[in-house]
Amino acid sequence: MEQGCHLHLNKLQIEQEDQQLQTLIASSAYLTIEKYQKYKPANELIQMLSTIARKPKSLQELLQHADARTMISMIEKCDGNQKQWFHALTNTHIFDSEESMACLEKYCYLCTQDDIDRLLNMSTNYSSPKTRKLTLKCVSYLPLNELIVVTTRYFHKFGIINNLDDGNIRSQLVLALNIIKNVNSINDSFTSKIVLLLLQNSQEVLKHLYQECLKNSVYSLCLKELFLAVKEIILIQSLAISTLTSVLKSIEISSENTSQIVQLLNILLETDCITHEEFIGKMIVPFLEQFLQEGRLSDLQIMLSIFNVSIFV
Amino acid sequence: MIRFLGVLNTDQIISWKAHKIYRHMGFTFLILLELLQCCDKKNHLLARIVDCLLQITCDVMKAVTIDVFCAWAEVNKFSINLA
Repeated sequence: MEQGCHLHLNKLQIEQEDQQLQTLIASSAYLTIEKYQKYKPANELIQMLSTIARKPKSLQELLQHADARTMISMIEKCDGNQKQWFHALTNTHIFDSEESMACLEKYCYLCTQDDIDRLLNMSTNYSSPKTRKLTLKCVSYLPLNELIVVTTRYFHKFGIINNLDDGNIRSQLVLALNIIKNVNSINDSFTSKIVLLLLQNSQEVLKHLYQECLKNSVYSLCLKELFLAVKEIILIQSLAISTLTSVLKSIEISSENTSQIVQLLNILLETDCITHEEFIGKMIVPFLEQFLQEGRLSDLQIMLSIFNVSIFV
Repeated sequence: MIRFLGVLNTDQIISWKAHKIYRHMGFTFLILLELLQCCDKKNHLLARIVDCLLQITCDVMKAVTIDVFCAWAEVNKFSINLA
């Protein structure tokens, strides 16, 4: 019987490791009083217990007053309250503590959209590769629709920044694009990959996508779904049109790539990634003016023909 | 006071220091309270057991002095060593 008692006490101790015995007894006394209040034989005990009884702290109170260490040990318990403790941890200065970061990494799949919002906000204050990597890892667990929402929110708040760029974008992009064979290749997994890359450096990613479309018009058709999905992101700070303009400036516009240019333009216009006003005001007119000034009449002619064939007309 | 601690080897206990006894009292008291919470007081068959438990708990409580209660505040992350 003593062994049984010993084991039970051990179990108690493991469960309540972080609380003082006095607190446990006070809480237990409170619960006992509640239960036996109306039971006559218990009157004497109730009187005695009321001198030490204290209402047990609710989970909310515990969450509010806990420090990071306590939160981590509660998360490690992997019990029913784990998620709440995890959300409490993401509300702390998580990137300032090695232990918190390790816990975050281990349980990153528990992150909700709100947690990711918080992490992204905090990540703008840090530029270490470790923070970047950890943030991206957590973000990668979000489903596609939430991923797009947090990315859009992030860029709306901080502008088009590339704080999370881990320097590896190009190779990841190439890998992702390699799987595209036809229009049906675009699925949620592909789109998620691209959005994660956009989160790191949208200018670079968009530039590369445009370049691929201009090399091969098949890509334009295939990526239409993608452009539609990330529209809200690339509309921020007119990224879609400004990147297109700079890409077109950097290549040589000739009669050979006119059809690819028109194809890409039409896709972007159709999906409303570029408005008609932007198309004329920020692209056609400046190019025409520039070509006129520089006397590049053949380029002028090509640009006019592009304008002619685009769906806007 | 030792009588209330249940079946224990008296020789062993003599060598215990106060804080160890207080700790033991604390955990015993805690278990008694938990046991009381487990019981269904509406069950007439258990009535006698419940009444006994209430009495025992009262008796233990009477032995709890301010010293004992304060000692409980210091029992925290230590591993239990009842032996």
